[in-house]
Amino acid sequence: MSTSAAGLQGRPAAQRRSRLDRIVNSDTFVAYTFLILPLLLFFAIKFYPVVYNVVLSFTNYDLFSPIQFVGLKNFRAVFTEEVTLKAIRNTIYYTVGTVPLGTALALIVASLLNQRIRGRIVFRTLYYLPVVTSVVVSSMVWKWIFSPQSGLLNHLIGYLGIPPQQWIYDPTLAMPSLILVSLWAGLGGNMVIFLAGLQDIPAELYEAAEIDGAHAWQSFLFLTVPLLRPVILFVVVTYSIAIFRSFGAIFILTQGGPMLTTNTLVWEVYMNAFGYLKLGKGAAISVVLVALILVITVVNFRVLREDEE
Amino acid sequence: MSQSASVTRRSFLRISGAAAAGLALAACAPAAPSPAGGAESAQPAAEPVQLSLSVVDYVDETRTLLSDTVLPAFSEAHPGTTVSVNYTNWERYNEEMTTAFAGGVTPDIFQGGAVWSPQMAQRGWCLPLDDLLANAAESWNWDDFFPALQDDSTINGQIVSIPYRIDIRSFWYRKDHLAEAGISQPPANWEELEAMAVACTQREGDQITREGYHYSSPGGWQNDLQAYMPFMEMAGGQFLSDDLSHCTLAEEPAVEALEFIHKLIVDLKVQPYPGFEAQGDLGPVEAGIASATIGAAQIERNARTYAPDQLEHLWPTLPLTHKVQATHVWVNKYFISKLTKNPEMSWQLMETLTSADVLSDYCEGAAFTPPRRSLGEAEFMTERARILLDSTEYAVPFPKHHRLIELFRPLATNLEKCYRQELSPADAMAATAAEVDALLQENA
Repeated sequence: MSTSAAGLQGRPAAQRRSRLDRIVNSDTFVAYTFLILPLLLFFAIKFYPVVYNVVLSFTNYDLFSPIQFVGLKNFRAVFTEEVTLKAIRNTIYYTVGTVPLGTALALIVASLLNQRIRGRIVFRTLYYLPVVTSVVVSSMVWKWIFSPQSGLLNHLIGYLGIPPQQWIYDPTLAMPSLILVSLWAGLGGNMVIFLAGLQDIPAELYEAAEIDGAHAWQSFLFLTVPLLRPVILFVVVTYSIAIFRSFGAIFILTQGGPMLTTNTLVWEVYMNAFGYLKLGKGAAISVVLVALILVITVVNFRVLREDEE
Repeated sequence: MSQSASVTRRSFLRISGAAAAGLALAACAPAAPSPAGGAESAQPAAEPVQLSLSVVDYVDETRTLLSDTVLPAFSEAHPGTTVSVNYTNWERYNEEMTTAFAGGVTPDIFQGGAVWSPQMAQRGWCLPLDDLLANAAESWNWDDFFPALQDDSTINGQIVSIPYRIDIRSFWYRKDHLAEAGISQPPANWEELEAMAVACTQREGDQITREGYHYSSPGGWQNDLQAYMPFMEMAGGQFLSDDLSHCTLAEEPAVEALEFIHKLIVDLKVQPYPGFEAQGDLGPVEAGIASATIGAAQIERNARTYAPDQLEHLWPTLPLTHKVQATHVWVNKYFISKLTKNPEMSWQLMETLTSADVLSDYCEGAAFTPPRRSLGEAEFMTERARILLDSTEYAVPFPKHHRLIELFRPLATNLEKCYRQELSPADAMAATAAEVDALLQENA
């Protein structure tokens, strides 16, 4: 280090300038210069808050008192208190109830809309509409649909002779109702991803399968599904993450009730951080949430990759 | 082309990059100081004063009143002073104020809800008002505010807020339903309420088609809790001990209140559980699908606006008497931020906003119940509104614990378990008391 520094000092000024010019004019320098802004933004609004959140999870902080380090107390509370344990169970129930069914539905709908059927563009648009609808607006509409007295759903099941249900106000039906809303909301986006994947599968493969005597269902099961495995992995992972983080529908429809049956980890983070100003505990719950997402992602990768191998 | 005069693509990119980085750094610099925070030096008295006000309780009429009449008049009376208003809503207000205080940039004056006084005082976010209030004009008159409201605004012996509207809830009945059931006088105690509720309930088979008594609607997690509080108070119970050290819900009055409601809902089935929803903007009583409920001024307001033909059937009364004649009051109030740079002028504005004249216009515009006794004589007060205002004499405000929202959650959950017959009233209250006590013992 000192040798090179001495060498630099010994060089003529013009030579040093020319080297500086080369550095300044290099593509790498220009690239880094342009990266400064996004990097600064990334550190300021992504990296720093994440690190700060992890630090906060080991503290007792309520915005108005000094930060107090409490070690693992918040994490112990997360894994011992009935409310947060229930939130973990509810989050898993919500995800397991939504992701496999939602992925399968999206794949089936995409496969149907990949056929040459009349009005398929209209159908694709209709299925995609929920994706461009605000969660708040659609949740308000769902709230009316679920209304026990005047809701559309009770009206429809009435035709089948089924008595009116309380839906989001019934501890047994509240989570399935939320799952129904999430299935509806996620279908269009996942369908588009599957459509893109389906269009990459060469038509000749289906023709060959047909010549070999395969039925449509067999083509779907033994050709489409295996060839779409990477896309399925992508959809399952991103959909799981979306459901784990889902907040809007819970906020509008159930607020964690009835009797905490839709109280998920995200809702618990919100209540602790903003409702009770227990920022340390809220941060700890969010760290647990991220850990759960990582576990689910790794499991998905393992299962779907192993299957591929 | 000489090098000094030319701009190459590379040098242009270099300059642009440097400019972008410079802009990024400039963006990280502190923002210009706002009225109640960030500024190191307060504006000299002779300088123009800019006050900021956060308003969450408003309708078009009150907004017009503030922007067209009250605030221009205030600026005229205090030359050089202007007031900017941030109109917001309850759904995001808690988060908005929390981040405002965390960021150190708050409005000078802000409205707050029923449980805000102890929170604000505990966090040191509001200015104690005693010294400022001592200089208030005689006509302003603190004693015109009902005692329960004064008590609600006083934390540890200091006045920290001034009420601007109240949600005083008392019993509302449907005259036509009572007449149909042959009842000429409204109930005066729990026994009569029970008899009335049973007589007025209507069914088709197993389905209740008209609630004899509407306890609570589904939806918000606090609905059951808010409907339970007045009964607990009529039974002489309270949520926390006087020293706020422990929960008293496992004691006899609180359990008795829950037993009574349990009897109405579960045994006598005078409403399904959860109860009927609002029909659009009309609650079950205004819509005629319930015969009685505990409610506030919005019952009359909704009926006047959306179903004027129903108005004649609505009949509010003073609170019932069980062990005591009592009901619950939700007090909304103004606070002055601890971060204000202009406490004197903020108080001047608060004094104006809570004066009898302005409150009269404000409450008239939104059909709110005013917090001042003298406004019972105001022209806009209807006969029904006066009965509600008179109920304030029997009002009990919330206990003064700064973590009330958190402490309420076990009560809300266990009340629901009780009405769904998972817990008996005594067990529900015992469980609630144990959970609340555990929270109180946390070093939060």
